[in-house]
Amino acid sequence: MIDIRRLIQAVSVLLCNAWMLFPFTKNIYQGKLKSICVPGLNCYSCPAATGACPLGSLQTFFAGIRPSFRAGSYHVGLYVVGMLGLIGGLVGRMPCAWVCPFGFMQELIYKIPSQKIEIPRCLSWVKYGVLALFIIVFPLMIVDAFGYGENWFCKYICPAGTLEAGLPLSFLQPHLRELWGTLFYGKLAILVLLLVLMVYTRRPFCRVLCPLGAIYSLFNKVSVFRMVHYPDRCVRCGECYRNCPMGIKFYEGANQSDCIRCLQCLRKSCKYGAIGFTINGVATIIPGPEEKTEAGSG
Amino acid sequence: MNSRQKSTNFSMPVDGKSLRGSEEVGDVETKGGLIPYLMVILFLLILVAGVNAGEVSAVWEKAITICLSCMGVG
Repeated sequence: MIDIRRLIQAVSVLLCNAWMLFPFTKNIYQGKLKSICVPGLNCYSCPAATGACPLGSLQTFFAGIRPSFRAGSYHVGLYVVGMLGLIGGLVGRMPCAWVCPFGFMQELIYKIPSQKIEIPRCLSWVKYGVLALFIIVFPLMIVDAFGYGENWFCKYICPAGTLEAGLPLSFLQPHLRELWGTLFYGKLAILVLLLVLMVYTRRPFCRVLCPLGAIYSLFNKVSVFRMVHYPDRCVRCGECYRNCPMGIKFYEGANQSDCIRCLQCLRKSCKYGAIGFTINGVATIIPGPEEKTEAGSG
Repeated sequence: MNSRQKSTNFSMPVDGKSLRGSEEVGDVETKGGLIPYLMVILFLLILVAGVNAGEVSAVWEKAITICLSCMGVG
């Protein structure tokens, strides 16, 4: 049976990277769709990318805020902030599970058979530091003589940029390889380290480093769509934790910041009807696999 | 009653009363009012303000240029 989430993830990857003429143009897509930010992490310099990266766009606004004010255009990133807040306000961190191409890749790599390890939960806080410093403070505060800052996260950390833009563009445009230096190899090391970690642990980038996930997670407890836990039905069997792509024990809190609302626990794990969700404040519950089977046989 | 039996006897909650006893549901009831909608409207207004300020074309201009920083070469 087709997993609807996998299908949506795959379609999302294709939609975010639908420019298939890049081997012939040897350049990135430059159509009007690039003015729309995609909800997940997908580098806009990927040759196939059809949309803009929200994190890259946000940093660009922050980095250019002084020149923008001098020019009287007052571009401060309201478009991107509004879009991210709108999505977060509606569904919280759900895009991470359903439409983020980089998240999808991590889940696929985790399927490689190996001994699995767990990331210490305290590391989840790192992503808020990355968000505060590399997305907001550094681009805003560290500027050159003309008042321009840099895209700090893109430049020094983002593994999606290295994987989706750095490597393919360097092969499409060989002269770019001449620019490879310490910075490139440093970013490549981050990418390789994360790729290795992805084999052994669940979504390491999402849980520890992703500033986009950090932004969406701020809305988890107050979004229109929220998860619900029914403790009177929960037996704390731990099945939700075993199947959770983020390693969450659902019974410890229904809307934890790391919950990406993949609904895996609800659809595939919980046999006791202890997990549900609310939309518009209306509680909804979908019976777990066991109830479905019993209802069908009864 | 063991947990297995428990799982087969639950009923679909139809209102707040049938969900009492759940900490999280109490949480939902208190926060399920206007706050999410006010937040959505606020960010929608921010989004519209950004569009009106011409930020869409600014995003486009950045996105159609190869980002050397993203690649790790600039």
